[in-house]
Amino acid sequence: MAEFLFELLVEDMPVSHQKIAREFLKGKIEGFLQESNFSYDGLEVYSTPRRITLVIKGELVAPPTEELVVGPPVNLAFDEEGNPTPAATGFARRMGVEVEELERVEKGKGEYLALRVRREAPSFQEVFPTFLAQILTKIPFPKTMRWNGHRFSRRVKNLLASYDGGDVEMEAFGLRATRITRGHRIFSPIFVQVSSAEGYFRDLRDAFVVAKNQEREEMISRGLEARAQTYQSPPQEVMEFWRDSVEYPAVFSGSFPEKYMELPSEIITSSLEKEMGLYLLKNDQGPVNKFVGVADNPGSDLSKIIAGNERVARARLEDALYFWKKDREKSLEELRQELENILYNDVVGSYLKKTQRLETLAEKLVSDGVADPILKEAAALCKSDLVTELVGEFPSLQGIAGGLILRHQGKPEELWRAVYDHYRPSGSGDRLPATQEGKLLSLVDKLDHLVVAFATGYRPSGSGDPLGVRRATLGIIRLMVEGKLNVGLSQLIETAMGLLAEEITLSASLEEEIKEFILKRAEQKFSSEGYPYDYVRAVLEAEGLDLSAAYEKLQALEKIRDSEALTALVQAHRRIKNITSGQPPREVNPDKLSSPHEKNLMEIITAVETASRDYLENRDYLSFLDGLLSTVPFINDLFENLMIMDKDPEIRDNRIALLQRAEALFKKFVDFTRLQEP
Amino acid sequence: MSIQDLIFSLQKFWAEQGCFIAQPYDLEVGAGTMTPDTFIRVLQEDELKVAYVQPSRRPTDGRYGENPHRVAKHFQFQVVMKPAPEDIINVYLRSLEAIGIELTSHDLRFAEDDWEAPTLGAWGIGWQVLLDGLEITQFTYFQQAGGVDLKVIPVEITYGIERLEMFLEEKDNIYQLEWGGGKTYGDLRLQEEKEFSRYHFEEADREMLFRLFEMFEEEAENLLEKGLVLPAYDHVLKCSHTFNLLDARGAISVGERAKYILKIRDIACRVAEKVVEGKNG
Repeated sequence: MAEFLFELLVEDMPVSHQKIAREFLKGKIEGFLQESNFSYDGLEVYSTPRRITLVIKGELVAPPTEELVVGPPVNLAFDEEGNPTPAATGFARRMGVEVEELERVEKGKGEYLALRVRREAPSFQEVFPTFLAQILTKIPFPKTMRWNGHRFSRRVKNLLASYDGGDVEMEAFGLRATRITRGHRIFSPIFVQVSSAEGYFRDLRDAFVVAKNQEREEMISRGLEARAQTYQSPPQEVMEFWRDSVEYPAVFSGSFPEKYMELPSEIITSSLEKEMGLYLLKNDQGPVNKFVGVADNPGSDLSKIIAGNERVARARLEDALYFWKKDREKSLEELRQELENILYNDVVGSYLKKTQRLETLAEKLVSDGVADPILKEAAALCKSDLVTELVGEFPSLQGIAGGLILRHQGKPEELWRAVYDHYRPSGSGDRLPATQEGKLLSLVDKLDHLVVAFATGYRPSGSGDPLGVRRATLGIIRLMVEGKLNVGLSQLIETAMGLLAEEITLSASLEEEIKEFILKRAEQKFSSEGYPYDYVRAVLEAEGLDLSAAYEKLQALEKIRDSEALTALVQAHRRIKNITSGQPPREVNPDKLSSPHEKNLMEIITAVETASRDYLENRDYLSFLDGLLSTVPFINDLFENLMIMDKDPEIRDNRIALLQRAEALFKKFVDFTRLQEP
Repeated sequence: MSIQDLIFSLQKFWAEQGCFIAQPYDLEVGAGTMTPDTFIRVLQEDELKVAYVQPSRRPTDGRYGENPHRVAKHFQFQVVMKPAPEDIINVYLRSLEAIGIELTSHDLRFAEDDWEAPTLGAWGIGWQVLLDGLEITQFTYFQQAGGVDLKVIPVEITYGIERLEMFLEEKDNIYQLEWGGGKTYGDLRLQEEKEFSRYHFEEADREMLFRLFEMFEEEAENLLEKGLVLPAYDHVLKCSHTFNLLDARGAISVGERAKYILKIRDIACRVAEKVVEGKNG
């Protein structure tokens, strides 16, 4: 059993960079070990702000490989008497063997002399350090530091590498690996000499560094149990941030004067969490005037740290309280007028104009009967908080600040909640707005963003999307699908374009491009959830921008995916299409249906047509599929017992018409012929 | 330790590290980075060790002397070393110990904060240093200044004097800090904060400032053409401060804001080019 240990010591890396590095290194190293057939039992990757640690355990040997080296063709290798020619002796000499040791192999049309050569696999120490040094420079950090011709998240200070306790030849970032590292920067800046992974973790711990992320998280959990047990525990992302911000965690708790509880908890949270990394405690009744934090300190007396954090917290809350009071001196209606001076887009102008467009879009939704009239007021006021001091200080409060001000003014919940939530979902992990009006406001806001960007010539590129159009579009898709919005997206796009047409000239292909863009993103989104690509294409072709219907059809298909039912439907639809494709549309003449096979099919189709109206209306797609399935035996019966292409043109056309009728019913769901059979 | 003792200690410490102690630059600037001792020298010299106090004016931060933490003018203690010494973080930690901070009783963090000065075409990689949650230092490795990629990477360490002092005195109010000589910060600065807040937010003559901006800009261009790089740079600083005044006075919309920043950056970048040329020629 061998063991490879590596540590890169670095000046403090951001938490997000550590995660990128851990995931990248794990993936690349696993790939390398598997490709080069190195047997290994475990790969561990850890990080702190100051170090990345790797431990690889196992045999760490790769089996020898065998290669077949092919020489001259047999007919040229021996003369008529069967003696080897210079071609054969030359080949044997080059390979360092006698001609007798060569074997004969069939290759293509001929027979050749050949030799099997066994190659020992290179040793782990030979190849792995070189590979590691290379991939360390390739970690995809969002931003890197440059120094002395090197690049990394931050300056690299030291490399440690050891194989089974011995030295390893390795060089990276202008440094040579040794078996020495350092402990905690403040509490134990001494050198630590390492001879095994176990010793490494133990000695570092003595030097006040807990190198394993999970162990630090457990220490924090225990600290929280001791100090904040009666409160709700912080979410995982806070735990991870704490864990990866320190080398030796210590949990502390503090409090602030009761008077700041007058502030909405969102504002308190922004004041304390941003930069300070403190977490506001909540019990069943809501937030209390207490916080917890994590210090990088192994000492037992945290009193100065607590007092210092409390002092900074007070100062920040005092500022926030000042802003909160000042921002409410003017109403959001008044603040809205100041939006005239805030540019939303170089071509189409200010945020004031943007809110005017949003108002019109909201009005359309109201007149379509999709939204409550209050949506229009929400649309008018939703951007006003961009000129408040609070949003100036805490940009992440945009929307929220406006909502809080409206709530404080005693406005109805539908109104303030819509404004409060309308930037959501702001990323793939974010939740949707809580209310119907919030979802609709978010939808029109994002749709306007998309349409304005495209109308002014902007297109997201492979490498960049500074306006966040992809994110906005993904938001639109999630609002439609997860938010189950029953909104005519196409008409809404037309309205949004109409509003811009008053200001700028729109290209003729704009509408098509926008719709294509949304559909393409939806296709990617649905596929990324694991739905088969052909299903995704089929439902989007059937439903277009009615994304929530498309998604529900996708789910229905997924439910019958592995059953015989789906095969039956696909085969039936194909059979029908073979006949109907290229035929002009025809009407069935019931009087001309002569055989029971035709009559039976007509009867079932008519029945299913009637029943399916409700199913489609209520999006009860599974019942629809059941109905469709009940037609299949009759379709098969028709094909098996009758010649569709009868000599009598009247009979033939009527049979085609009947199949067209059946096909129309299938296509109410999707074009099943586009699906691969399961 | 009073503010003046704090400054003395930092000066002494960094002088012992080989820095020359410069005096504050005699123009209004928003930060120590903007003075020629940093901006020009990091472009000019491959070896540089300098430290100095720089009064820094940020008109929009004024609060009429009513907010105990925010002021329109504060003092920075600026250290620049090029190339950045290998163990500079440890040297910095020792500087904190030199002013009496016992690090083992506190929580010191290097929190991600990549500094950027758009008007100077400058940015770097680094951290804000938090001591028990209080930001006491901006610590940056410059990557670019005046749009020029720096070959030798400097480190810039900017201590916020008032922040540090509030920490040392454990006080909540900036105006109660001891300056030295029996004076408080409030004795020396409160009236100034009140008057300048009123000036910045209410009384500054916008028309005059717009005219001044144009005049400074033109003069910077003229001087640059004549090869007078340092005087040209002084006028970049004057443009920058005038812009800050206009901004505080609410005379510049968001759209225009970006345009003014670009104007200043454009001249600053051309100054930087000349400095680099001069160094090579």
